[in-house]
Amino acid sequence: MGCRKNTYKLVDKRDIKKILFAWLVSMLWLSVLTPMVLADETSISVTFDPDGVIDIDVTPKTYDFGSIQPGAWSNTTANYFTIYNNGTLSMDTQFKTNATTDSTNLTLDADGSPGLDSYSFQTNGLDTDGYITAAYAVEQDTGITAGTNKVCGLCLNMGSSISQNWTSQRTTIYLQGSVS
Amino acid sequence: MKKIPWLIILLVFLIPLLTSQVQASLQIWPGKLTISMPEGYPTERIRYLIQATNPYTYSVNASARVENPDVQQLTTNYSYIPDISWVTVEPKTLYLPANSSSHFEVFLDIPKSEQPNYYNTSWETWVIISSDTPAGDTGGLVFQVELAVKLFIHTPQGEQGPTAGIFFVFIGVIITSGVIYILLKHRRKNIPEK
Repeated sequence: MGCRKNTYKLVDKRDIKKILFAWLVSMLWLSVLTPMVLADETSISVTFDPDGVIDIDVTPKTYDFGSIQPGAWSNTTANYFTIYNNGTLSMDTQFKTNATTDSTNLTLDADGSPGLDSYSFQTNGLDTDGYITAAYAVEQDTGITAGTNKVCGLCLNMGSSISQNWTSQRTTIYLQGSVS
Repeated sequence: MKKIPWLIILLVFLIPLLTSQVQASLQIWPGKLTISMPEGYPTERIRYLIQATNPYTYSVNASARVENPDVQQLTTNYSYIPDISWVTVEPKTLYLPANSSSHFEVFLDIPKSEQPNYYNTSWETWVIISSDTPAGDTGGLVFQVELAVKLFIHTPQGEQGPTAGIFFVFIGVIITSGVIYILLKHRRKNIPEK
């Protein structure tokens, strides 16, 4: 009595085709759906237009107006300061200054009509000369080409009167450069 | 006497070196950058780097702050960012050794609760960078140079919900499950019972 051995194909050719088909369908869906499921990281785009380095400087960085009488002007020469654009992009410049001197004894008058214990600064030689305010406003110079420079001067107008003979005062003028 | 020509030549080379150093300032890259969100608001805050280079032969501290430009300097078709605190810079002060470069990190973080209120808008704000370059102790007037990096932000065009994605996932799962089910059922039929 020999044992009859059951023989059957575990997987025939049609099954292989169907497995392949199921696998292909799965892969197709996986490729379509994976980006949607993993869409947690939304992409952003960052562009630089124009692309380049910005670098603005001014020399000299100090000036001494000396002793000034009330109601008088004291001016630098017209080309005393040089603004350099050492970057690779065309730049605009703006000026602002502190609202008072460092000692707070004297106050800035941004309208150009300084009264008691006040003073005004005016630019000279820029595209848009005017009185320097305590906040950046209009561009004083536009489109300084990369690698070039611009000269200018500054005028100080002392107030019409002073309450006492003040000792030496010091203040800061800020020169801001931004891409044109 | 023979030393004089050499001295002149040496001076000719030294003078440009010295003067160019006086004219140098902090170098910043980029000067202007535009951030767009074409696929919707990102889930995490946006981060970007601003490179600062110190060309001096001495170390400087560079400081950065975020500031809106004056209305006269605002670019056409751009408005101020609704809340300037959404843009931050880290660190506030960056130590730069002589002839070295480092980075400020600029972060843009629009609160989720505010995002639906601001689709298809364009904002402009500036990152102002300055250094503590010594100006000298003499003179009643001192100049301080500041560099402004213009930052433009374009918000997404509209809401892009996940509804479509979920729908396609659902359909995909049903189709794949159906194919596998049919295959398994057919396979069982081919196996003879003992």
